[in-house]
Amino acid sequence: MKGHLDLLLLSAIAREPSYGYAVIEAIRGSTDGALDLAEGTVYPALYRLEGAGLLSSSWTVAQGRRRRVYRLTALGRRRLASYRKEWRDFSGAVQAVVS
Amino acid sequence: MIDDYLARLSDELIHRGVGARDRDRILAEAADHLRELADRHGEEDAIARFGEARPLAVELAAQLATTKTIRSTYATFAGLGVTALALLALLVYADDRAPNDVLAGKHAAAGLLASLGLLLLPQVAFVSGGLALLRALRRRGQGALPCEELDVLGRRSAVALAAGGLTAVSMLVWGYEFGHFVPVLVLAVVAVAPLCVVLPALASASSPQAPSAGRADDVFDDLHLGRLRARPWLFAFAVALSAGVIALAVDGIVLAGLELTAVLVCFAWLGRPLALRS
Repeated sequence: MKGHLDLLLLSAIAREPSYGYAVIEAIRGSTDGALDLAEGTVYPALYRLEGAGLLSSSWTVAQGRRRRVYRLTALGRRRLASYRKEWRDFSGAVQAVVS
Repeated sequence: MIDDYLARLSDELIHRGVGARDRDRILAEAADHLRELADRHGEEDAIARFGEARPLAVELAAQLATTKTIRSTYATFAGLGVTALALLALLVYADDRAPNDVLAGKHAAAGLLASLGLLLLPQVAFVSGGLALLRALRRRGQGALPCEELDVLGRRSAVALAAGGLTAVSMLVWGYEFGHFVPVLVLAVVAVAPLCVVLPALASASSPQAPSAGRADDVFDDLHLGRLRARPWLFAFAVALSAGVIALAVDGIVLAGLELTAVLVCFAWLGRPLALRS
């Protein structure tokens, strides 16, 4: 799971610019709760992806609270495409063995 | 309850050296997240789902330390690039103005030291900064790095920055000693300015605490020369000889001998702090 965290986060944020809670909800919702990330631990991962230049972020205000919204950078989009290809190759290979 | 949790998280972040600006961001994001969770599940469940403050603070501090250290390494190398351009400009300027005798300055010792500084210090800066950059590029995207690894990166960048700064000082002294103070002053300011800009970033990078688990790589990992790890001085002699041969071809036997000796002295002096040998 941890090895695929970057793919999950980048995929969720690729759909639309999003913030920490919404990212986790999007992943949980897309998988009917099968992937239930530990909530607080998403932030170190988001900071790491931002530090690597794959995400950018900015403040907005929602319901009177400051909210940090993350979006994919051009580098992030390219990296996501690469991760998706790796995942398709990997899952296809595993599928070929287990089916 | 959420306010108490945020206060605990704040204390843990302070305890791990996370600065005010990063702390403010983390706490604002945590507060927003917790209140969204609390709207659905209540405050107690929200805090349980978010996770304990201490391990979260440890993980956040480690990630911040890594990101800041790697960024400051890139910034250091970029700053040294500007210093190198200023030095190049000095070499072009001095091409037909430099005296043949390095002892012909206003003070013989100062002129000699400045000339030696201009020869050797840029090389120390380039090698140390280059090794820091190489390590940062090798380690990018690997998540939070252990404390020892970040220390090596920080020391390599700091040595590069110090050597770059001393290069600018050598430029200034050389200009004064050999009667070109004003034009060389401008170049020295250009050389040192980007290093002064980088310095606070490098200093603040060492503030957040990374976990101590895990060892740092050495230069043999950087260069994929693992077989030489057991004989670091063989590696040092090979590098010194290569530098000496190049200097012999370009500058003659005296500077070649100086170059060879300087490489060995630097290896002995800076080898351990820069993770060139264990």
